[in-house]
Amino acid sequence: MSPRRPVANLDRETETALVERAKAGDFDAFDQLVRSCERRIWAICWRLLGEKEEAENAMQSAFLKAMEALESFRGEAGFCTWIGRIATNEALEILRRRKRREGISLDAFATENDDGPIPHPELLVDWREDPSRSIERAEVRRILDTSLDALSPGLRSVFVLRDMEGLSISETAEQLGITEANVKVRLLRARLALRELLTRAFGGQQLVHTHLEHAGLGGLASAAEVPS
Amino acid sequence: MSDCKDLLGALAEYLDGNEQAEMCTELRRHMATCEKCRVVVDSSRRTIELFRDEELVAEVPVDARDRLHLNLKNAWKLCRGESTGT
Repeated sequence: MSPRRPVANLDRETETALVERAKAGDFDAFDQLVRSCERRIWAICWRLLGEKEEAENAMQSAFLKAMEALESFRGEAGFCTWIGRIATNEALEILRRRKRREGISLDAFATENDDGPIPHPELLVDWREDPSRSIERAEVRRILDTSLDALSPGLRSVFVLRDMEGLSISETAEQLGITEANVKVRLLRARLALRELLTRAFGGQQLVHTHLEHAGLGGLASAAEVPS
Repeated sequence: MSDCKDLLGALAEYLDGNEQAEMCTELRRHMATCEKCRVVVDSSRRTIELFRDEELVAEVPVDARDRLHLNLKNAWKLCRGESTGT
């Protein structure tokens, strides 16, 4: 049904020309733009939602909304960045609806316990060489997806927006409706949690379970407040 | 940073690219002598790098991609009432 492969990232000039053609009514031009970003948009939706059907719905909604709003696209940001923001909003809205369905909270992102102690780094072992060289790429992908899936939506959304999408701390806070201080705390929690999970997968032979107290790090948790 | 207790606060700044901040300079100095902190910092940095690696981003499932392009094509016809070529 769709024989054309996704295209690589477009240079700015090509992108601008395609946008102009699309605005003038050329579907093929729009379709090429979509193909240039679909993998990135899927990554946002998939990594925020962790569920295929919901991720597909978010991706479709994002591109459909982009199609409807094409005339308003002025090109200040790249096309993929623009759709990335739309996709993020779609995925976050689905997350909020999911939370409401589960009756947990009206706001999926206000339920994290940000005041509790940040867990100590436990696994203190060097990684093997670059995992993407020594392990099949598909296996590394699976490990990354599984690890991200282990995080709560509140932690996951902060990590995806800040560390993967490259939003600033303030942009992340605005998008999620939480304070910048909360973004910083959750980011640290998310990074450390993922570090533990990936160290289990990629750590060297002599994987040792070590608490930092052994290294004179008692009280680390109370010292873990992130400066605002 | 005479011991490791300030590690996490400095780690957050360090990973956010504020490497010039004073606490990060101290962290770097500390890491030179503390193997455990070096491991935590290094593996945290590599964790973020892996998630940023575009080659490691999941590909769009083929069926989802086909549905996307078909739906966009149909929506384009409906909204714009113009030819979509093939």
